[in-house]
Amino acid sequence: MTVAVPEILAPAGTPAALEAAVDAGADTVYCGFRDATNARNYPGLNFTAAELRDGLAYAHARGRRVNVAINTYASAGNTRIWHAAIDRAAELGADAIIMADIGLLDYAARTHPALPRHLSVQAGAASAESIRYYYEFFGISRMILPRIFTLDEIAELKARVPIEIECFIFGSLSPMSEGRCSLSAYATGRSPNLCGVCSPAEFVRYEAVQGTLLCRLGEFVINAFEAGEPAGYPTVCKGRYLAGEDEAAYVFEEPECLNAAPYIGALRRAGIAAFKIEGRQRGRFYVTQVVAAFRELIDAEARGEPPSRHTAALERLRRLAEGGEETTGAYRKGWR
Amino acid sequence: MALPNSLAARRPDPRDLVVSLALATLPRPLIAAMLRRVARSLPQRLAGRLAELEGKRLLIVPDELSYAFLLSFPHGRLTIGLLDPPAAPPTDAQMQGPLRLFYDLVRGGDDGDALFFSRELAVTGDMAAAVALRNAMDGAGVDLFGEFLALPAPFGPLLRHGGAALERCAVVLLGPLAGRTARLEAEVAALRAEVRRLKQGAAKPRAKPPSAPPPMPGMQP
Repeated sequence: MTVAVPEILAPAGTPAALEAAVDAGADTVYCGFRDATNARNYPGLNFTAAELRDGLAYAHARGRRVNVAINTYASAGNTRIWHAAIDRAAELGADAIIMADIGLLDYAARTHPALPRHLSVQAGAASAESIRYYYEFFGISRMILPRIFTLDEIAELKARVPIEIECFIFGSLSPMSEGRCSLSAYATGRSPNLCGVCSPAEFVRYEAVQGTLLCRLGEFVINAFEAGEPAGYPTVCKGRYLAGEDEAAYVFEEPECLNAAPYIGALRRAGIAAFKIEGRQRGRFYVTQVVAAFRELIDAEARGEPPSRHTAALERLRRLAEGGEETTGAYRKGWR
Repeated sequence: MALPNSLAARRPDPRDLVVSLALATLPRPLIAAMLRRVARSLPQRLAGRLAELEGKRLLIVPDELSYAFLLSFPHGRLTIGLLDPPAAPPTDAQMQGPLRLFYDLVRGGDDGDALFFSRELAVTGDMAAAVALRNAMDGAGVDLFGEFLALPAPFGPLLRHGGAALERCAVVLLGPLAGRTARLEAEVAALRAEVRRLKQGAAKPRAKPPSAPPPMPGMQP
């Protein structure tokens, strides 16, 4: 039996990144509007309605798709901007919307039933029963898996749910509590779940102090880097803390980048429909490099070539890794 | 004579050479005038994104130049001034690094986050302003170098011809060095791959767990 080649889903924080993703070989691009309705609400990022219209035209003219992330949780009593975002995505002709909030899923299902709904990783649906619930009540056609499953679990899950499954193949990791993490809210009062932003840039300060680079988030010093030491994103989960040790250490997570290139074949055989690349906050160079590398690796694997032979593409990916380190995350974890 | 393939992609762009030459040798008033023209010619689509930077001032300090660039954003427009770094007024954010990094960032030839992770690019101060500028420039797909070289005569044609001559000189002078560097790069990449294979085969060292309290029920390990 021939197993279909999964599509590549590329991030785009800007119009230039969207065009770069399409040009580099992405099958689908995902992006968000310039407000708190999406989980990458950073300064100068995301799309106006006019920019998304142009982006859709660019992608569709080349036979590609654009999915719109509306994947934060609406504020109680103030769903206006989320409903407006859903309406706008439908009106502009988005190919799918990526959502987490059940109230918004219900609104989208009732108001725009023909617009495909994908369940965001932010929903944190982590069992076949949970995914089936979203499918039966809100008609989701695709599930984006939280980054907590092993390869064996994914294969088992796929056999038990009646929808497409999308999984992350590359990019920064969060502490495996997607949609439920409140670390940023603790330090700054704002979180990716409600405000679309983790460690808001306006709360981040880097200061050079006697050769050491101090990283502050709000009132907290969350990390300190010696000269030349690789750095990561200024998030609480990637800070170093004194926790019963003499030296500060990464107690939540080290700054690493998921790279599941070694498992392209295993994931394809498990029936994965799409490989997702994280990084809407990154620039067009990142998008071009990562999409082109995975286009090469995925096409090679489909021809029966091991991705490991494509050393130049793998090296280009490594150069872009957060903290300069890569991990295969939970896909083959020896810990539990 | 061509440079080895592995390094050809990383050799200086001819435009880098000519812009560097201009920035290093021309009188500052002339550079300032050229930058004003380039800033005025930026596309309108940049204005909406630069509007978020209203009232902010950013300082860009290239390692190789004796002066720094002061960026401000009145009414969604970019203005660029030149000044001596010690004489710089207080600014909201500061970026410092080799000139080539800024060239790459301006034309989308490298990733700002990766440069920051590797500590090649130093960013201090108001990160919201720095991030907004990066996203605005990167997102508009602006080719500032193209604008620079498209300046009207005599500047544009002079710079373009100078660039072609410099490119020829660079190939002659850098060719042997480039070959050696390419070989070293390949060796380092092979060693890195070997180290990664060894690390993946070994148990990952973990910090000693605290004696108490135990993990909360329901938390992911």
